Amino acid sequence: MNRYREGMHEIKANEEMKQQFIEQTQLRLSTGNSKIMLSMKTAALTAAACVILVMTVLFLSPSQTRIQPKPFSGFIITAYAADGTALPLKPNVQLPLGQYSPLMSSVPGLPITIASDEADDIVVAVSEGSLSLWSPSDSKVHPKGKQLHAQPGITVYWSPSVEENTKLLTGKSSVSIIAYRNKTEIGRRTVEIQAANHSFYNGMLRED
Amino acid sequence: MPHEAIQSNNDLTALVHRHADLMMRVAYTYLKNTADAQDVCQEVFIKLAKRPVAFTQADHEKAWVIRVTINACKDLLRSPWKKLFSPIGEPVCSIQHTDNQEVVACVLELPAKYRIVIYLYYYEGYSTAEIAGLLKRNENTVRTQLKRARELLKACMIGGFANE
Repeated sequence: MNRYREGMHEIKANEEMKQQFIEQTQLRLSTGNSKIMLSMKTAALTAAACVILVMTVLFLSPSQTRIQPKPFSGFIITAYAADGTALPLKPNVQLPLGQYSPLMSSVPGLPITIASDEADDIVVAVSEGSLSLWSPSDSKVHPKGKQLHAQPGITVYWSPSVEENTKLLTGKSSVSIIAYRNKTEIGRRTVEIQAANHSFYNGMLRED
Repeated sequence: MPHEAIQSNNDLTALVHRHADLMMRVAYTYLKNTADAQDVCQEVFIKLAKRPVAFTQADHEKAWVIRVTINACKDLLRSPWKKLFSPIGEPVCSIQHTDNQEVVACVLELPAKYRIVIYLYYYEGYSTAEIAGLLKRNENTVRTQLKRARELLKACMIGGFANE
């Protein structure tokens, strides 16, 4: 085993290493913190682990990390057929909304009732046509233009009249209904209204 | 906080020069890696310097250094870091003579429990009884391990110990 002894004798700490031992030991004794100084290897391993962690987080798809909002299902939107039958609008189901013409004096537009147990304020906006509120008890119509705030349960009237009531919409209009609670939006739905013929209109609740 | 055992920088310097080579060899025998061995040596020096009472006998100090170095090596080998990021084994490049290098390389190929026994017996010159005390093993176990280690080394290097 002489060769083993001779070989092992060559394994030793060189002067630079010894000086490092002395300095590091002095430093730790003076600070009293036995874990302050990390070796280069340990520091490199720690850094590598941090990089892996950060990369893992960064490369996660935003769709994986984003918290999906809970679907809002608090609206009950009811339209009315020409004979006055209530028609609760369902997603992607087209229903006849009835007939409206400026010459019809019975109602100021096509009625849409919006109910929600969750909302304390509802904003309704239309892309085409106009909105109004009407109270049959006092027979007063309150024109609201293209947007209005309403309380849940109210019936709004959408009129397809454009160009100062002289012409009816012949295309499509979107009615956006947004629910708020404590001034925070909690959900929204869109009703698409499509002109049929002879002043008849169809409505469909669009799945957002 | 001052440490009674280390009164001055000269004491620390003397400690390092007295034990650095021993620690490196023990640690290298266990870890087979210079960087890891250096880390272990540093930790052991801090423990040694923090001892509240200095050793009165050099033999006791040396035995303490060997035991603590072995324990530090075992701790490192058990650590999750070491298991996850095991460095690539390095050749025994610090040994210049090729024959010596081959013999040391053969010993390093043995299981750790045999390597340390070989080192303590052949390099440090401890008896099997002293090794048993250092490693907290039964002396007969140490003898058996020594015998088994020799057999494995013979298989590795035919006639390598003819000069014994």
